[in-house]
Amino acid sequence: MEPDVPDLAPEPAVPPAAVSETEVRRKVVAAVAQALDLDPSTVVPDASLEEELGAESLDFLDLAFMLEREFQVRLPRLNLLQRAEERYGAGSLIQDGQVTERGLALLAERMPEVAPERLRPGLRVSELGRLVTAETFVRVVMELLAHKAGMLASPCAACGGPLAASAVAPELACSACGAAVPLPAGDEVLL
Amino acid sequence: MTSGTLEGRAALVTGASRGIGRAIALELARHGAAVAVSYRERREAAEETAAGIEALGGRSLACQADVSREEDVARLVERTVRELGAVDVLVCNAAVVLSRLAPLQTVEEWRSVLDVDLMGPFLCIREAIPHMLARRRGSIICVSSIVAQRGSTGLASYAAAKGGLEAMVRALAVELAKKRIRVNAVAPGVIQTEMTAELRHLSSEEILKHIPLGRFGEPEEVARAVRFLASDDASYITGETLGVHGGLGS
Repeated sequence: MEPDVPDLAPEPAVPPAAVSETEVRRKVVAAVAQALDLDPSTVVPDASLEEELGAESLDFLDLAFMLEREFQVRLPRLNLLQRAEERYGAGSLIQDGQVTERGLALLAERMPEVAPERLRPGLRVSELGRLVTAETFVRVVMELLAHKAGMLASPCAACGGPLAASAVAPELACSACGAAVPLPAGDEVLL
Repeated sequence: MTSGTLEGRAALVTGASRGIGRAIALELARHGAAVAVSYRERREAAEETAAGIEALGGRSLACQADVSREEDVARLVERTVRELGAVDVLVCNAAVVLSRLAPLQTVEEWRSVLDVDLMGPFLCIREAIPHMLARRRGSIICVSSIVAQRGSTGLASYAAAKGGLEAMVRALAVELAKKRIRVNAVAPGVIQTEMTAELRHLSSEEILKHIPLGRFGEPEEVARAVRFLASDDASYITGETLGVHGGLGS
């Protein structure tokens, strides 16, 4: 029996992030340039970080750490298909190291910044890194900021007071009772 | 920048309440580093080390942590960054040694040594890496032992941990080089510390026969090697284990 992966319905509506997408893009491009020792003017937002800009695995982690500090969010550590398989069970998205048809559909749905021709049958999971661009990080940061904005709109679970975002840690704090609310890991927030 | 200086750098030294760790903390401070002194149990001794650093005109803090516990290490690194501004130099020195013949060693004892001596450095390094990446520089020095390379009765768990540590140093040196983070080790021989007191008492003459320089080492001699590796004087050195053993391993 196939694992129970949900239908590819749109994500529920969330409040818009306080930071504009343009501002996020500017900061992501600057972070990419810093992580890869490049001049920011040479970073094309939809260039493959791995194939065109020479990023290696540690560069992706470096970039993630930078963006986490910049926006006080927690980026995912797993790729989209790994997250989906972790959550809904293994097998239907990746088989023998290859992305299945269903996996390709999920990638197309959740990574709209990727050109459709790149999501070809036979794509291997080890090649997913090649799909990642600065635009991928822009989208992920925007989604995480929107999720954070949604949490900020809710009252404190302990006292009902208003929550405020920390400028120095990926957490919220209640303005009334001081209770800290850590942000969930990016792997838990995003599919 | 003056040769060997650590001005403007922040260092974290584990197991720094006494012995080699204390000597390292003081040596780094003497060359300008602000130093976090980590200890597990000996609070007063750690505070003495910190006071010694302050007497040298340096900044310091003493922080309790069991390096084999993830939450302790996270708190230790977070506090170092919060109070000293960074972790530019990490010295993984905290270790335990258990001298026991292998057939008599329990699994719990084996694990307790590996937890502190091998997993401890891994946890400290893992926690420090994001901060070093943020500063675009870092120097990590692990304190190994001559025992990693030279067999010694009753020290199988300690030797396994230190051998693993040196292998980890080589692997991480390659992994982190691109980000200008250097990873090295020092491998002391028989140094005059509390840890080796019994050994030196029981077989001093026998051991000295095998040390070409004809004497035991001083903690400060290990500390100077660590300070060298921490500084820009060692800017092209990574993945190395520097023996500080008077020729014992040669």
